[in-house]
Amino acid sequence: MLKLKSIIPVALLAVVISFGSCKKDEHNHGSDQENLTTLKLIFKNKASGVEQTFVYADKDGVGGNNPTQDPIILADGANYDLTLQVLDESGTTAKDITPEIITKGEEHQFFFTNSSIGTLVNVKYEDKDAKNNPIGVKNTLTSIRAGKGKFRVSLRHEPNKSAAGVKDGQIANAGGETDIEADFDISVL
Amino acid sequence: MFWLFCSSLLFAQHCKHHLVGQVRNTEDEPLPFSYMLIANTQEVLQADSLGQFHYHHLCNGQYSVHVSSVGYQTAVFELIMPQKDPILYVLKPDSTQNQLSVEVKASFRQTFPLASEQIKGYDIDKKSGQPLAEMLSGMNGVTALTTGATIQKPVIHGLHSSRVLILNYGVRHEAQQWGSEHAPEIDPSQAQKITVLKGASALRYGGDAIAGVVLVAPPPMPQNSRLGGFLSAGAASNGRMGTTILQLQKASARIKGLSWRIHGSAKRSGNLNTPKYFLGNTGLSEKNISFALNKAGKKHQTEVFYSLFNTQIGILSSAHIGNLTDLKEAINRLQPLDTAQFSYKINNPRQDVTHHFLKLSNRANLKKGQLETVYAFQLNQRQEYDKHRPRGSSPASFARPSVDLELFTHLWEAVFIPKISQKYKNWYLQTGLQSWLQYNFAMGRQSIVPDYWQYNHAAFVSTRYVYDNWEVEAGLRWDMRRVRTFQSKNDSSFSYNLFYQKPIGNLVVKRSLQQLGYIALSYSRAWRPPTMNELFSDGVHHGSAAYEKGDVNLKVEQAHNMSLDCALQKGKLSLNVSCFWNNIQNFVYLKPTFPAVLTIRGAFPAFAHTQTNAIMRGVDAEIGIEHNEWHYRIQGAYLKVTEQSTGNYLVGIMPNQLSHQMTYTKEREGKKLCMLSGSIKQTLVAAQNLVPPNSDYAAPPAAFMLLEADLGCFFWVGHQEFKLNLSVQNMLNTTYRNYMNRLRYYADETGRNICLRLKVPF
Repeated sequence: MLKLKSIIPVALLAVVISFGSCKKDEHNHGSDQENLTTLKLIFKNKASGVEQTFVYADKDGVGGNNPTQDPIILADGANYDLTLQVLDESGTTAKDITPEIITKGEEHQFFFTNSSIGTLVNVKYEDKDAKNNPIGVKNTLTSIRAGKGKFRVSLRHEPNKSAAGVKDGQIANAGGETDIEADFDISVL
Repeated sequence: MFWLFCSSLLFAQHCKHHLVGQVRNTEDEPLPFSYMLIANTQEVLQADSLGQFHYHHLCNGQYSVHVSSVGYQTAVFELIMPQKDPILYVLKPDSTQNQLSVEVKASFRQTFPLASEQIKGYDIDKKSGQPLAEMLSGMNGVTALTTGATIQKPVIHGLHSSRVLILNYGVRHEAQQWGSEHAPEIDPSQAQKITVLKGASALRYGGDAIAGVVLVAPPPMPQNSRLGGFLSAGAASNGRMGTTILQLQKASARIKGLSWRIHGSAKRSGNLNTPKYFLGNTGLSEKNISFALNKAGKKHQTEVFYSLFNTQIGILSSAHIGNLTDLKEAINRLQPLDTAQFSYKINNPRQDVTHHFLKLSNRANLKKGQLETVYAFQLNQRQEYDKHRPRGSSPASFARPSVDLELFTHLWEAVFIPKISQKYKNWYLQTGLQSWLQYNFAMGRQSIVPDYWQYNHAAFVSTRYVYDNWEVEAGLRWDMRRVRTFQSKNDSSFSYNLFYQKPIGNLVVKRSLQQLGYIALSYSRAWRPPTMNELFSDGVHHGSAAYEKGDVNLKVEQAHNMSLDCALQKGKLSLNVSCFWNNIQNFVYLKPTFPAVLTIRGAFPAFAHTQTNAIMRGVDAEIGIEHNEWHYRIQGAYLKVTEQSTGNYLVGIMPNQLSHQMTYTKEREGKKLCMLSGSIKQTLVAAQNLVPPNSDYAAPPAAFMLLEADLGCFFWVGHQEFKLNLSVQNMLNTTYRNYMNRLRYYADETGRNICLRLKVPF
């Protein structure tokens, strides 16, 4: 009997507090974060005006299915306008993120790297952010030699654009965080 | 030996003698609730609120009685029975404050501490301002797993996180311990004593303590009706850290047995520096407050305790990276790309953690024994902010954390220690029930763990039998856990029901070698259900550049733990050795999987939570030599962990280490002279070569040597005592990287740190 008596006060308080603390209901998973799922490279041949689009897409996000990438095929000795488009296709309706990247241009920069750069093609930035540094949404690409190689497009978030070589498209000192790193196979015919 | 044998014969005959008496201090005031340990029988009596005691089962013969009370020196008295007159035991005040005889309390409350290590009193003061795990890492076989210099969790025999159970004020600490970058939310400055029980033999606390238990114990409540406490202030050169601690305590003069304590601490530090550069965004801000109210009566001792822990921790900004390419670049750099200056500002990435803890407990001294009932509530709020603001377009989302978790835990516990009748006086029994209910809300953009409900129930019984120089302890415990999870992915929601249950047990045989020490052999079982992140994680944890995949079909982890411990002392020489062999079935670990996971953000190294059978074996040893004021000790820890089937090594195991320390302590004589204490310690940490090939992004760091020293002085100005301490860590300003630091890929460890602390007890 004594035993029971000694538990009662603690048990009673316990019950009061347990129920008192249960009124948590503003439970919200609201995920308004955009997932970057798709990168589109739109090549427009300056001479003929013909447009070609190559896509790198990972619609189900990390894990699950592997991303898909189109092989890039370009003509030798041609000049292209290269425009980049970034999309969020994780939901039911696709959302274009490119305008946001341009608006916050100082926080973003695209880089073009890997074996094809300087050997098969040359890429030149054709846009500027508010501080007159390149963003890389609009570019020109010139094919210089026929062959096969790799073409990597990277998007860095908050890079250090004033570091050596970054303005000229060298990624080594850019820092920041990688938002996109898409590897394409490229053929110049 | 002979004498003990005689006394046990005597027990059979005249064992009905009464002992009546009182414990008083030198000023003739009674000392309530003092403890008396009758060394011969290991029985413990407690005086009542008037300091009086009575006992009715003593035999003819000679006894030695250890008497202790809070704030007084423990004294040993010889007692010859029969004794007709009441006995008076007088205790002298203890100037080193609050040195309650730990041995007495331990043998009364707990089973005997096997393979345990302790830090208390001045050793805690000496490390004040440092995180819990750092305080423990001087112990043999205990290290810290760190994420930078500010986030640390204790590692016992190479195991950590959910395998190490932490008991704060006697209650299991329940928090989001999902990653190695989550430190326990406990303010060690309010502890009087921190004990680490190595191995799985502590059944009372939990069946899931595969590696061991950390007990953070508060000082005993005040008995004095004068306002007491202490004020402490500290400053450290590295990070330009400042700490303050204030503790106030008092026993009520009007209401007998009522006492309270308030403890508050605050800590602020800025960017830390390595010998060569500052570490960007490594500041810290911490605030804690706790309140305890205690009413001790003749029959009941009731306590209310509340504590609030809040911390904001900056994470080294250059360690927050995007993908495998970023990681490789970071490793190849000699120092982080972000050059930093000193600053107190804490930017993103950062963690913001709050922990509320409320405990209500009652201890009742009943006719049939002692019953302790506990209710505890814990709320753990964890928010993690990424380096870059979220990509959302709404400005409101900028301020929102990417990881936002709230964990609620309600715990009930009842432990009963029956009074053993004279017939079974060699027996000790302890039994209890435990339940805890937990629910977690995951609200951030990234969820490491899902929403879930969890029920746990446990029952245990533990017995000890003492015969002559032999002691045998055996215990049984049963645990069950039921979990229900709620998740949504791609607009569809799903849930899991999981159920785990298992009985475990332990057996310990101890042989006392009289004054020489003891030797003990123990076997214990423990098991641990897989944690939520091991079951459900699926994604890239921002900033760690690794894709982690959980497995909902993971089985429970089961450990068989054998250990041989001995503690010997002869003359000036002491020896402590603990050898252990731990076989863990279904050991859960992160296994690298190939190929790397490819995403639009590039390639990520992939890891899966996998199970294997692992064998861990090791030795912790310590040799001490004492000569007058000098004390030299050398300690070493060796650990080897392999996969049972293949013999391959496992990743993330602490490297072997060796340290030795020379301490000089000059006790004060009277109040005039200062007590001086100084020590110098050298620690050698080996390179961890026992790793599987190609299991890590970078090779384990090289071996290193560190030197640290401290100098302490207790002095009096008038009637006021001051305790001053100066310590230097990494004295030689050595540049090194530590295998147990998750940020070792990015930056060096911190350089020399000079700390000055002043404690004013009143």
